[in-house]
Amino acid sequence: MEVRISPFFGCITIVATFCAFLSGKTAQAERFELGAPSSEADAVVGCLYPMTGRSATYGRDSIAGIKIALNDLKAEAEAGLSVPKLRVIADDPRSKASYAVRLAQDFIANDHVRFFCGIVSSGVAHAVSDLALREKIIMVGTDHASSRLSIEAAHKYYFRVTNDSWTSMAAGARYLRDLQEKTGWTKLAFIGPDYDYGHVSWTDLQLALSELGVEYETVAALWPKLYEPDYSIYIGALQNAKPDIVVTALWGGDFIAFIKQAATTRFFETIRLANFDTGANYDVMMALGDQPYPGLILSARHHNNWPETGRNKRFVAQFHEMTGRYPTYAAEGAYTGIMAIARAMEKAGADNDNNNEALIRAFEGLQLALPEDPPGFASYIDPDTHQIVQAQAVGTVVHNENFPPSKLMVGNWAIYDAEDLKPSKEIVLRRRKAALGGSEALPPPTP
Amino acid sequence: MKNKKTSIIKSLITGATAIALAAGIATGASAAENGKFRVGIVTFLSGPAAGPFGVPSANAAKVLVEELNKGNLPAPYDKLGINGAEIEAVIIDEAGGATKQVEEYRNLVQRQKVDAVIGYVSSGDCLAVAPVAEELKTFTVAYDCGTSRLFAENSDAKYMFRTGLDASVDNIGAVRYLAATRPDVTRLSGIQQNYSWGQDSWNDFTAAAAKLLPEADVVEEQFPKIYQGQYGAEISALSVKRPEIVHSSFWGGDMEAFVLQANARGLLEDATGLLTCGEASFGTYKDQAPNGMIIGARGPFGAFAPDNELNNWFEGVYSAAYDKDPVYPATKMAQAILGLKYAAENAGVGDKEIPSAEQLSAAMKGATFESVSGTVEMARASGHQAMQGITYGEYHYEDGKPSIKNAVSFSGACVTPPEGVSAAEWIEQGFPGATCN
Repeated sequence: MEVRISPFFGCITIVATFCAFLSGKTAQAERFELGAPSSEADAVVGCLYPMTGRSATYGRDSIAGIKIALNDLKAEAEAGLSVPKLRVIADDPRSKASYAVRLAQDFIANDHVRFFCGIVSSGVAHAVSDLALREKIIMVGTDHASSRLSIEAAHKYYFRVTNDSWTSMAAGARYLRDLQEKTGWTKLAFIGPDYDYGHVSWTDLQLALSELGVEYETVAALWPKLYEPDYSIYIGALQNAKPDIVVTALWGGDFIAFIKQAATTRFFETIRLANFDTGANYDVMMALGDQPYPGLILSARHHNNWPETGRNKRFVAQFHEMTGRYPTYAAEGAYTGIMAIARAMEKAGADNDNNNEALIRAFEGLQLALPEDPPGFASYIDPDTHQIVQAQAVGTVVHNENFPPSKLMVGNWAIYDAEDLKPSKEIVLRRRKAALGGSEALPPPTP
Repeated sequence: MKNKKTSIIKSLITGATAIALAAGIATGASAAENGKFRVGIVTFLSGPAAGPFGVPSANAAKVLVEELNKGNLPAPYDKLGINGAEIEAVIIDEAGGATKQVEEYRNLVQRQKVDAVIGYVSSGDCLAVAPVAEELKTFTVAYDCGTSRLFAENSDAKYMFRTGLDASVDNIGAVRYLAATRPDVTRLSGIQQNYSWGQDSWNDFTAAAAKLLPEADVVEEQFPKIYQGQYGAEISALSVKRPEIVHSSFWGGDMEAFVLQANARGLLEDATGLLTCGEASFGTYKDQAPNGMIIGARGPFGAFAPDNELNNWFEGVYSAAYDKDPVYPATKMAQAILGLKYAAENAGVGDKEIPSAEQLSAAMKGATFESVSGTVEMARASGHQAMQGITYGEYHYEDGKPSIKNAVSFSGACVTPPEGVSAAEWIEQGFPGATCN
């Protein structure tokens, strides 16, 4: 059994638990316990992150991000500031909604959590969000991105502090609009994982393009399953459709696998591949090797090399010092989640004791100066959708060896203002009305 | 072995208690009776302002009086004591408020029979004491207080002088420093203690910025109460406005707490702190303040004092006595004492004679004298107010040592309103007549 010790507020334990999985196999997962001991904690936060499989990097980096947040809070306390003492528990839902709900229920029953946080998979997040509503637990999403969670499925206890699919696709649509003016592209294809996040991303992109008045032809929309090992038939289908641009919502290992498999064909000779939500993640940069595939258009929810602010440089340096590597965007998302909880508790003040209403009011409109914020802007939580409002940078791949072992990073940035990337009130209303009418999502506009 | 002279000063002293610094002081005896020059020294010996201001000031007074009585100063101050008369310094605590300080002042003059008074960090105390100095016809030197109202409200002052600078100079100088080093800055913010010092400082800074940095906007301002001590809400409010500059006239423990907390909360990762009184804690920030933080010393004092014979000597004796370099309050106290010595020795009286208050005032009015900070011109307020330049620079802490980098100095004529013109008017008019190097 592995036990690691990293002291935060004097206490951390990692308990190796042996969970009987539904299949009957025994799987080992790590339960992390960070921050203040339960006897001293002002609040307990229960987080769910993948620690195994293709998306384990996200969980591993999220835990590091949480540790950085707890260290920062500890430093603030030592400097004389009154900050809440948080106890953070993290466990691995293994991308299974039912198992995630069970873990979350255990968080409530056994650990007396006041907050849920994290969750990479939008499918899992939907299930836990439903539980949060039933149990009146404030949920602070830090990674999953389906915009349905903050629009159609929004509720008072759910908040998200990282970019959602709408934000990324709104930025992407603007990039494509500007690109069209330069290159005249007309044919668009989409490929995304066959679950909520993928489908919502495609809908969001179409709605955003429509709002901007971009004219184009959709030549393909393809739906491989999550964690698909072989994309060859999809790559072939895309090549046959002859798009100018392929936008993808594949993420993590799936996106890397798709790129590597596409690179064995003539895909990149004629098609520009864009990934506006997750494509610029550091694990992708590392996987690209030392030669950028031509035409890639990428963004992500946090970049190690943008913005070049003191706050971002500090965060990246803290992560590197702690782990010996550079962070994926999940780290800054998890960091943000913990800081948001701490700041909301501070803002609520004495009113927050066992008073979710005061905390919810504190979260609504909460402003946070974050590593990913460009100069002159601070992220804030939209009081209506409970979705954080953030700027986004989209770019292309350039040589940059400042973040080894990667030899490439994204550069040639196009920056999009946060306010421009919010869904309009009209869109939010229409989508919510459509959901009330029984539709899972607002149908995309008809070309 | 270091002579640790701070212990007696650091102890809590009630206003009624005085420390006499001379051999054989006979309390109640007049100077004329014992032939010594008796000077009252007033600064904070207790309370929040004692550590950063009062103790260094009192220490400076103590070491300077001792060395003057030995005749150890360089020329032109190498004459023993003051005009050959041994100095007796009576150091009292400034704590307690303006009403109490008026009582203490009267006590110094009427019972302690001092020949002159040097003192006052608090602008409120300066304003309260100034008319009493005129009433009691006592030569009085304000060494640190910065209020612009001192001579505006006492325009016909005869006995009241100030060898420190008007606070408007701090803030005009701060803006000039930004204009010289950060001309492209667009997002300014400030945090000030919510009383006249903070409000006046912010008004001068923002007014000057409007003229000299026209592209800059004030994105946030915070006014916590004095001695609040914890600034989490204010730091968060400043942080989310993403300023490039955070100006503060905070001083003492408030200033140190703010720097520590703002640094911990990340405000100073992207925003540059600009502390008009920042040099007072030069030796204590260490790595708790970010490199590049802009600090001032309210004039050419402390770490910004020039490389001249007088200052080198003063730094040497002060460091030898207290095992630390003098910060700006110490330099300013030394300047006031040297100003008094200059006036006494240029008052046209015989050797060892103690000039009258009228003679001291006549000699001081409009004088130009050499000091640890360079040349001091009593060139404003009808010759009662010193005019000097001001320097700002960046705090850096490397290899276990603090240092100043990128210092820029501005002449007195660049940052001081002309005679008879208020700072607000001068700024509003666009600094007419300013001569900047």
